[in-house]
Amino acid sequence: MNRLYKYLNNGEVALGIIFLIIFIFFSFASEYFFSLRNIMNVSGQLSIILIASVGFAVLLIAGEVDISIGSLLAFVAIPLVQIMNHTESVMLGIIVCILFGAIIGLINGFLSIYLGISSLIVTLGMLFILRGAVYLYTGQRPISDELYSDFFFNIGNGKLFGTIPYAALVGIVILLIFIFIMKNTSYGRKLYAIGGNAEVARLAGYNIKLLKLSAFVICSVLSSVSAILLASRIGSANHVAGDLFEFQVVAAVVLGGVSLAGGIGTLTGAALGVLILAVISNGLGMLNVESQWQMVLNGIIIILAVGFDELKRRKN
Amino acid sequence: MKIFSWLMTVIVASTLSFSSFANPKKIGYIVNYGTHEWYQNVIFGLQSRADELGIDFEVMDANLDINKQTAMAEDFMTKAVDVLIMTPVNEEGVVPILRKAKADGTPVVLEGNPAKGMTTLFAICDYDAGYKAGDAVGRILVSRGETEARVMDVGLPLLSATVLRSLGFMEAIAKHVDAVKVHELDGSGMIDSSVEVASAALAADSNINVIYGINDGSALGGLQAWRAAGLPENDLIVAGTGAEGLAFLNEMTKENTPYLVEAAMFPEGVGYTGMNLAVDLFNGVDVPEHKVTPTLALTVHNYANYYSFDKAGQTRQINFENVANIPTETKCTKYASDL
Repeated sequence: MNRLYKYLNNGEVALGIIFLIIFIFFSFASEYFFSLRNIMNVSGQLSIILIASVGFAVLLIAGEVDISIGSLLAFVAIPLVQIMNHTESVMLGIIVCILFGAIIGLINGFLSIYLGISSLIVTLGMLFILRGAVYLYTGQRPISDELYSDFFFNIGNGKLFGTIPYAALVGIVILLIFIFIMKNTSYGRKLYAIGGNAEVARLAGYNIKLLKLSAFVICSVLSSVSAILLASRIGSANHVAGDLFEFQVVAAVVLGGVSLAGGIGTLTGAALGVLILAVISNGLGMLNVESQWQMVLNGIIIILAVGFDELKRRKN
Repeated sequence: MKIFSWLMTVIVASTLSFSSFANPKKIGYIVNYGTHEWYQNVIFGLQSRADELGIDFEVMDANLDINKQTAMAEDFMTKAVDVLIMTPVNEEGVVPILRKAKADGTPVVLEGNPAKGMTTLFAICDYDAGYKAGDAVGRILVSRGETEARVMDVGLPLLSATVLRSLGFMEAIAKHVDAVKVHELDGSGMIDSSVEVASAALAADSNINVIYGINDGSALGGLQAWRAAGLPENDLIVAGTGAEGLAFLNEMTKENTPYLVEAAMFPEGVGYTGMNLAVDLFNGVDVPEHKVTPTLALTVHNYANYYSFDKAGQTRQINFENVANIPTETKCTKYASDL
C-alpha cells in the first residue's frame, strides 16, 4: 500500500494517469479523436511547443528563465526565409537561423549572468527588442517562402510513410537526447545542482556562470528549431508568429512539474505537460468547443500547476 | 409502354438532379478573428444559409494566430468536412494549408483575401465600396451647393484593402466637386485611436466638411473628435464603411446627425454568399475566382430595405433577399495590385 502511494505520488506517473484519463474521455466523447490521423496530427502540431519546452525546462532547471522565446520565434525565421529566398539553400537558411538563436541566447545569458541583471527583466527587454525589430524589418507583413522547396515544406508538413509527421520525429529525437543528457551526464546533474542551490554548487567547484550561459544558449537554439518548424508549417516568416508562445511554454513546463524556482523537474514531465495541453486543445476542438474556453482552461491549469508547485516547495 | 418510359425519365431526371445539387453534409469555417463584430456577422450569415440548407456548420476561431489556423485546418480535415471555408490570418500563411487540403481532396473557399493556390474567394470590392460612398457624399455636397470637399480621411495606410476604400472614396467625390484630402490619418481601424489622431488633426486644421472612415470605428472616432472639439455639425458630412454592427445605425438614425452615408458591406450577406459558393464548389459547379459580394451606399432613406434593428442597440436583422438583389460587380474596378 505504501509502495503504491509512493508510486502514485511520483509526479510523472500522476501526469501520465491524468493524460490517460483525458485521452480516454475524448476518445469516447468525440468520434474523430481516437483515430490514427488525428493522433498523428496532434503529434505534429505539438512538436513546435515540445522542442521549445525542452529548452525552456533545461533553463528553468538551471534556475533561470527566458520569456523572449516567442519573439525569438518570429525573429530568427526572418534570416531563415530571406536566405532561402535569396540563395535557394534551405540548409544555409537553417544554419544561420540557429546561429542567430545561439547569439541571442548568448546575449541573454551574458546580461543575466555576467552583469547580474535578473533574467526575467533581461528577456522581457529582449522580447520587446526582437518583436520591435521584426515589425521594423518586415513592415508588419509576412515574408513568404518563395523557394517552394519540397524539402522545406516537408519539415513541418511532411509525413514519414505518409503517417508519422517529420516534425514529431524531430521533437521526439530532441526530447530523448536531452532526457539522456539531463539524467545520465554530469553536465545535466550540474544544471540541477546550480538550479537547486547555486551556493552549494559554487562550493563544489562548478563553473556556475558557464553552465548557466550554456542553458541560455540551449533554450534559444531549441526555440530556433521550433521557429524552423513553424516557418515551414506557415510557409513564411510571420511578424506575429510566436505571440504569447512563451506563456504556452510556461504553462506546459510548469504543468509538467518543473519548478519555477529551479533545480526540480524532469523533461519527461515537461513533455507530458505539453502532451496534456495539446490533447485538451485538440479534444475540445473536436468537440467543437469555442477556442476561448481553451484559453480559460489553460489559465486555470497554469494557476493550479504553479499553486501545487508552491505547496510542494513549502511542504519540502 | 409510354407510361413506363415517362416514369423512367422522371426517375432518371430526379436522380440526376439530386446527385447534381446535393448539399454538403458538413462545412467548417476557420475565422481569423472571431471576436470582431464584422466576423460575428459573417458567421451569422454563413450559419443562416447552412441552416436553410440543412448543413452541419462548425466554426473555429484562430484568434489571429496563423499556426493555430493551420492546426485547425488539419483538425477540420480529420473531421472530414466536405468543404473548408477560411478567412486567412494572412495570405502567405495559408499557402501550405491550401497545399495540404488539395492533397487531402478537401475543397477550400477563402474569404476576404486571395492566396496563392486558392480555387475561389468571396469578398467585397474595397475600391468600389469606397467609390459608392464617395459618390453619395458628392451628390449631397452638390445638392447643398458646395463646390469643394475638404476631407479628413481616417484611414489605415498599412492595409491595401483600406487604402483602396479611401482611394475609391476620393476619386468618386472628385467626379462631383473639387476634392482635397486635408488630413490623411492612421486611426488603426480602432475608435479610440481614431479619436486620438482626429483630435490632433482637427486642432491643426478644422477647416473640413467631410469625414471619411475606412470602417465604422474610424468614422465614429472622427465624428467623436469633431464633437469633442465643439465644432458645428451643420455643414459636415460623415461617411463610414463596413456596416459592421449597430453603432453606425444608431448614429445614422439620430436626428440632425452628420453621419449620412455608410459604404455598407453587409457582413451577413458576405457569409450568406460564401455558403452558397461553398455548396457550388462541392457540387462541382464552375465557380469564379472572386465572387464579389454586394456593397451599397446606405443612407437614412434606404437602410430599412436592408436592416431592421431595435433602438436599444441590441440586435439587428438583415433582409437577405434584398441584399442578394443588389446589383453586384463581376470584377472589382481596382485591386491591391493596382496601387
